[in-house]
Amino acid sequence: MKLLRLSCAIFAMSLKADLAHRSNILFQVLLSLAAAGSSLITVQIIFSRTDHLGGWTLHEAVILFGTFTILGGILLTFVEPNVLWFHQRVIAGQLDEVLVKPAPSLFLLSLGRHAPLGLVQAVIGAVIVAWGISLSGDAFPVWRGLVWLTLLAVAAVITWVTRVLVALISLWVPGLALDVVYDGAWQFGRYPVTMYRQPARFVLTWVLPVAFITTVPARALTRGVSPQLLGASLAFGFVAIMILRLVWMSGLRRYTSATS
Amino acid sequence: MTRSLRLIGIYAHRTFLEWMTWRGFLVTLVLGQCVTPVLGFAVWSAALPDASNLSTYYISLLVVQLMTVFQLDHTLANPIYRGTLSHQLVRPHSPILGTLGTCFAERLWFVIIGAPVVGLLVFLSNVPLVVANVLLALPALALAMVVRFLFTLALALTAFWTQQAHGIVAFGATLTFLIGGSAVPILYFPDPLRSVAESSPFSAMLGLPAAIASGSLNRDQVVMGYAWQAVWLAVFLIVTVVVWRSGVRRFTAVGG
Amino acid sequence: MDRTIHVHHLSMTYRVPVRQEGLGAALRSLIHRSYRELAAVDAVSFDLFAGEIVGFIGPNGAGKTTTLKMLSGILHPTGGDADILGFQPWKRQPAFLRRIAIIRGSQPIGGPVELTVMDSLRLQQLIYDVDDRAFKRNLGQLNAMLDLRTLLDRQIRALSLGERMRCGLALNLIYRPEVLFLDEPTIGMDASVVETTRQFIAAYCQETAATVLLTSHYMADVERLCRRVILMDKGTVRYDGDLRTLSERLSPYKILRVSLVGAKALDLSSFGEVDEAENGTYDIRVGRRDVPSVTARLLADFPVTDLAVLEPPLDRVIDRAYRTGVA
Repeated sequence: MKLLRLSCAIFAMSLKADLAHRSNILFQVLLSLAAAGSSLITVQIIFSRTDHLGGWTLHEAVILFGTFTILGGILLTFVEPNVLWFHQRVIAGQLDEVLVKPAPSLFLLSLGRHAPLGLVQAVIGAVIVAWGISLSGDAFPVWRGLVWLTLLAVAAVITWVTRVLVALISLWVPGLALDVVYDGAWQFGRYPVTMYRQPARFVLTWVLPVAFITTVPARALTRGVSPQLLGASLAFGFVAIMILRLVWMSGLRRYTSATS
Repeated sequence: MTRSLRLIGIYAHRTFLEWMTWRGFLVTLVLGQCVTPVLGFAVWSAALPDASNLSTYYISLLVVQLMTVFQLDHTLANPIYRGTLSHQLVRPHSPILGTLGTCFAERLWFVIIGAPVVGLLVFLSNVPLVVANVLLALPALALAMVVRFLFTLALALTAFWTQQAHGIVAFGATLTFLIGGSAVPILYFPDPLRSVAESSPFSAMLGLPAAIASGSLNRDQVVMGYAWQAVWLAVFLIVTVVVWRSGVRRFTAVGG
Repeated sequence: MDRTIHVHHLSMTYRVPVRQEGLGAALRSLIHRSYRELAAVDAVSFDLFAGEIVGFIGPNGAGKTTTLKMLSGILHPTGGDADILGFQPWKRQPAFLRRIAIIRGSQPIGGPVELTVMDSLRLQQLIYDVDDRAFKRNLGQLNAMLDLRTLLDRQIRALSLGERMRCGLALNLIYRPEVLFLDEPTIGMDASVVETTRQFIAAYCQETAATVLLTSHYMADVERLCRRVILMDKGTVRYDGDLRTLSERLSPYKILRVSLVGAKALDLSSFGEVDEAENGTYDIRVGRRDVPSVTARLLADFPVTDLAVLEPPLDRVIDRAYRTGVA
């Protein structure tokens, strides 16, 4: 409860700070629009040459890309401001300030800063999803939308966990910054994971779980999802949180016994 | 002239050694640059399973990407933001020499780290490479390098005026990825778009050398490609010089 | 008096990898690493009582900051124990963290820098569960002492170093911690800000009866704020007690400042080492026991217009002790 109040306060304050710079907002909107627009054109071109991409039709691929864009916005807004160049903060001893505060350190560390302008991208993603739905011409039952939202939440959790895990590596290997690698891996979520050959598909499902981040939620919206897969996703999200907690606790032990 | 070259050499040498400490990070940078060509290849081999020489095209594209990408948003924009560019401005030569030196060092590192990656891919995919095509593509690669350097430099120099230089450079990279032949090989663009893309600077910076090396172009297309590269080289040269001059004037006037 | 801090045999030992020179040793160390134990803090014990301001001094690498980090819960010690307000610090219980603050002059403000000072204060209020009444009251007091009014609506990133320190103090004191760890609070400040910061710390402690452990390289900070000092060197406590007594112990001499008629240079070295001489005024270093006899001889032999017996300047005494080792 306290964490929710804290989150809201941080978000509101950061938003206020962001809104003070009008030109930045305009810039962010234009940049996100142009990036999303040209990506959509790419998807269109691909489908002008083929009917199916890894078994997905055009409108399905558009919905997938919209989902990917939404999650990119969430990543940019809530996670990246905390973990970008995390190794530098470790080296500079800036973890100390998090440890002396009477609130969960993992929360303060990984969700304590927000960049609300990133939500512009999430909104654009939502519009793209809506457009994909209208392209299909089908009526989508409400429950599918609800399942999609649920899986989107799971995907956001997995995004947070994986990104923070990648940052925490620098607690064990000082100076190792995999920010760029995560960025690169993230891009594979633009397309359905069924498009990739093995063993890439396996890696993208279980090691860098972009399948759970974009493919599964988008599939749930376009064709529905079996209760088993829904359950598996929820379990995966839960396990991911547990893993992050364990890793953080052990990283914290290391930090508190080793810094100078 | 020889003095300038010698200075560039000194800067390149120094930066190269300086970056020795960051070699782990440089490996991640090179891997990051490999992502977009790999992604493009994955998409198109899924969409068009029987397309010919797709793997030759994308391996060539990976080489072009590694040879032409410049991280000027970090190596130039950051010094502008931190005000450390002034160290260069007080030296008795143009500060562009330092930037050039850094770019040469960067290139050398990318070649050292990237070569094994490319070698492995060539070995694994067993692609047919036609030596004549590769030779024909080499000058285009050199031109692409210069054009993309000038293009990225102009974008990075916006740091003199705005706080958004990183976003602007990233946006330029996104456009290059989407229109330059990485997300979609330019040959696959539908018709009106295709001629636009072919004459765009993005093709000149990325797609053209790869298309020539993989033998996807006929003689006329190759000649046209070179012509467009020359045009864009001239345009960006003028633009960059103008931006650089007024930027430095602003920097010295405002005091960084 | 209530004891707020009890430290008993607190130790922190690091394992640092060591490697002999040469390629063979480098290869061997890949398989079998050898380590050396490095005691940063070695069985340190002391007690602090409510309302005390204690100077925590010592040369670089003496283990002061490591001790502060252990006492504020950031570091887990390798041995010994500490009890602060009834808590073991490194368990980092929220109830403990709410009652302490660590303020570092090198990084007075953590957290997001885009926020305004007021927003950051509000955030602290949420994190530290300060109710609105207390928040308003504390803010009012801090405002009066630190003159925050012009800073509240500014972004933290745009503050100058001195302003940052004022805000850092406000952010950490808005929840009224009972125990304060101040690590080099005046580092890098210009003279006027240093003085107001010292005044503020003194005033705050008088007002709230907070217990303070303060490290500083500026002896003026310590002299101004602390009667008691704990001196550390190489990880152990070398002295714990009154600051004046320490100064006497470290410097078995006093300074005789004599002014003589006429400006021509005189050789007074037979009385003791002459430290400074200008415009007919001389500072002569004289052993404590010899002060009466030297004074008498000076007055008898020279045309003295003025004579004063001074304690040697503290920063020099301490500086000397740091360099030659603390006995």
